[in-house]
Amino acid sequence: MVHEQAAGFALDALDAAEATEFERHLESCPDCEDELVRLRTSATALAFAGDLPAPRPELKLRVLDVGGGVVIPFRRRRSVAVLSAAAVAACAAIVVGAHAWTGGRATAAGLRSYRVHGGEGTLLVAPTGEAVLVIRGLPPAAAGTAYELWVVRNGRPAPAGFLRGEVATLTRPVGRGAAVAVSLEPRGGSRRPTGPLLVTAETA
Amino acid sequence: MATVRNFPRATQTQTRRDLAHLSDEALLALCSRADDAALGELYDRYGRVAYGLALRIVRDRALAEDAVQEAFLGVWRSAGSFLAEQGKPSTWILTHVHRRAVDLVRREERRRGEPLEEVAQPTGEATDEEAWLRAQRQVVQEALRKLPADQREAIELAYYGGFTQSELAHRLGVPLGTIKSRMFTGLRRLRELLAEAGLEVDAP
Repeated sequence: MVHEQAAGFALDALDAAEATEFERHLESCPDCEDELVRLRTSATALAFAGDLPAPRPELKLRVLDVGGGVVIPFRRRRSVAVLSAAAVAACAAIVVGAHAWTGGRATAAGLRSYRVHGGEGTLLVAPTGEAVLVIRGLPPAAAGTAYELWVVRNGRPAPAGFLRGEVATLTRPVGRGAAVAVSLEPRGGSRRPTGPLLVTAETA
Repeated sequence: MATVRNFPRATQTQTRRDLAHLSDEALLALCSRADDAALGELYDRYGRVAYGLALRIVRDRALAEDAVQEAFLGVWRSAGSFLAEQGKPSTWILTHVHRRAVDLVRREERRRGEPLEEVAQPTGEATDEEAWLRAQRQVVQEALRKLPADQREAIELAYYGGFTQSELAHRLGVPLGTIKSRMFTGLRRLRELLAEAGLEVDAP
């Protein structure tokens, strides 16, 4: 009886030939179709029964890169010049373009990666402007402080969330030509950077 | 399972605000018209469950990410063929994920099919999303525990282990018909148990 295959189909436990046969049967059997919806719903409940660790933020950009480009390239060039805190201390004005333009490399669907100054990492920007900053090697923020993210347009930084760990998703879009920066701020954040820009990345 | 209908919004920090109030069905309709922001919103709602499910099946982070990406690509490409009477969008999306993960694990011969291990509850401050997922997990785990052991075993080995029903019959040393009826009866009973526990179950 083909009906008996409904549970196996709902659990993806049929082999390819059985699955094809059942799919053909479904077209002419509304009862099985209804039953399958119910069985599938139960089966899918199992998806919620396990541990659900958060995926890496990069996965969202891969998912959004629906045009087909999967690879997130990071073009390495000469060694990154680490910006000393003193060099950019207490910057009141941020000059976009002060650093060498490194270019953004596009994947097939326009996901771009940009080099980061001030640390080992990458800025990834989706066509929608959604962006993820990956940065390694920053010391943990001292108690009472936090790494705050900024999106800088025309020299004006706007707060864009916090960096906890090595990867952060920016809370505001990064448009073409904008820059992203990180500074150490009092926990809770500031409206404008009060500390030096430890990390910067420019898009172009 | 309609559990995802109340997905907390607090986690969707980078979603365009105008999408947050849309139903899953509406987002799928937008996807079918190539609106990638709608895909991003669906990912915000189901990406974590999708990734956790895939990881549990393939037991490898990179493979799990591949499964999620390919599944969402499948959602993107076939969004126009989604029919509401075939169940909920969340079930449909997670079915894509499950299928991809099972395909991958069968191809890679990575299956282990160990029974569901109890996962240590994460400690520390929980986000809204985590608290919600934890509550879901508790309900589903409790329902699974109430299933007769042989039904639970067949369902879990199929769903998490990626085994076909024929492989299960061989592995467990019982006739194929027995496996089929354990899966069928088990999924039906699970549905009742979830309904008793107050989880909304769609389809009459």
